[in-house]
Amino acid sequence: MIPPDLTEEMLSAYVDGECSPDEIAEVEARLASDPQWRAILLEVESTRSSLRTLSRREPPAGFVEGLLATPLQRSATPRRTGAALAAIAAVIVGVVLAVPRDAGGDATPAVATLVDTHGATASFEADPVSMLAPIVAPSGLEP
Amino acid sequence: MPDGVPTWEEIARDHGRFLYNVAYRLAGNDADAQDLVQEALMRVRRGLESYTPGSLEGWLARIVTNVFLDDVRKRRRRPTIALPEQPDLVLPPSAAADEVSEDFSEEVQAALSVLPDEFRVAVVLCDVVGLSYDEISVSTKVPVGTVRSRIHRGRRMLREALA
Repeated sequence: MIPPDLTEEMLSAYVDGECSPDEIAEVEARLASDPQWRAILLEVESTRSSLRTLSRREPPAGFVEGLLATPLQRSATPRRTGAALAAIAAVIVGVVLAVPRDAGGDATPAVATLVDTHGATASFEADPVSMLAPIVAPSGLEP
Repeated sequence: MPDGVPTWEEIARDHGRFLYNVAYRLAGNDADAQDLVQEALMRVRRGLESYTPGSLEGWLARIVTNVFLDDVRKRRRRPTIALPEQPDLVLPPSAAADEVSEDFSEEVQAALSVLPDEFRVAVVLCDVVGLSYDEISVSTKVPVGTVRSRIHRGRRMLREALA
C-alpha cells in the first residue's frame, strides 16, 4: 500500500509527464482499478489547471517603455530607494522654503549661504538628517 | 552580438512583460515585481555574453527566480516583523470586464503568495513558466526529487487554500 502522500505526489508527477516508465505503469494500473486514485487525480489536475490558466499579469502602463528609456545603472536603484531619496529631497526643499530668505539680517550666516554649503557637502550616502546644515537660532533664545 | 542572441533592448522590449508576470507571481505585489525585473535585466545585460541560444524565456525565468531567491535569503538574514496578511491591500481591486475570471485569478494569486517561498518557486516555474522538473532542479540547485515533492506539496496547499 502506497502512503496517501506519496500517491498524490506520484499523481502530481504523472500529470506533469515526469514519472518513470515503472511509475507510469503503476499509476495507470491503479487508476484503472481504484476510484480513490481517480478522484485524487481529478483534484490534482484541477489545481494544476487553475495555475496554468492564470491570465498573464500585465505591468503598469509604460513600464516596459520606462525600462527602455532609462539606462540601467551598474547598481540598480530600486523603486523604493528612489522614493526614499525623493522624500529626503522634499524635506530639504521644505526646510528651504519655510525659512524666510530675508529675515531682516538677524540670522547669520545668511540662509542662502547655508543652503549652498549644504548642497556642496551633503551626501545621500550619509545620514541625511545629521548632514543638514544647522539653522541659527535667534539670539534671544541663546542661554 | 552573435547570431541568435538578442540584444538587451530586444529582451526588455519583447520579454519585459513575461519577466514582470513571473516576477509578480513570485513576489505577489507590483512594487517588488518591478524591482525584481529591474535587477533581472541588469543580470541579463551582464550575462548576455555567455548566453547560448535556446529557450530564452526559460533562461529569463531562471534569472528572475534567482534574483527573487537572493532577495529571500537577504531578508532571512535581516528578519523583519511580518505584516499581517492582508491580501486586499496587496491585490488591486478588479477592474476587468471578465470579473469572475479576474476574481479567480486574484484568489489563486493570494493563495500562491502565502506558500513558503521554495514551494512557490517550484510551482511558478512548473505551472506558470512551464519548465521541466530537471530544468527547475538546475535553476534552484536542488535535487529533482525535492522539486517533485515541492511541486506536489505546493499544489496541495493551494488546493486547500482555494477549497
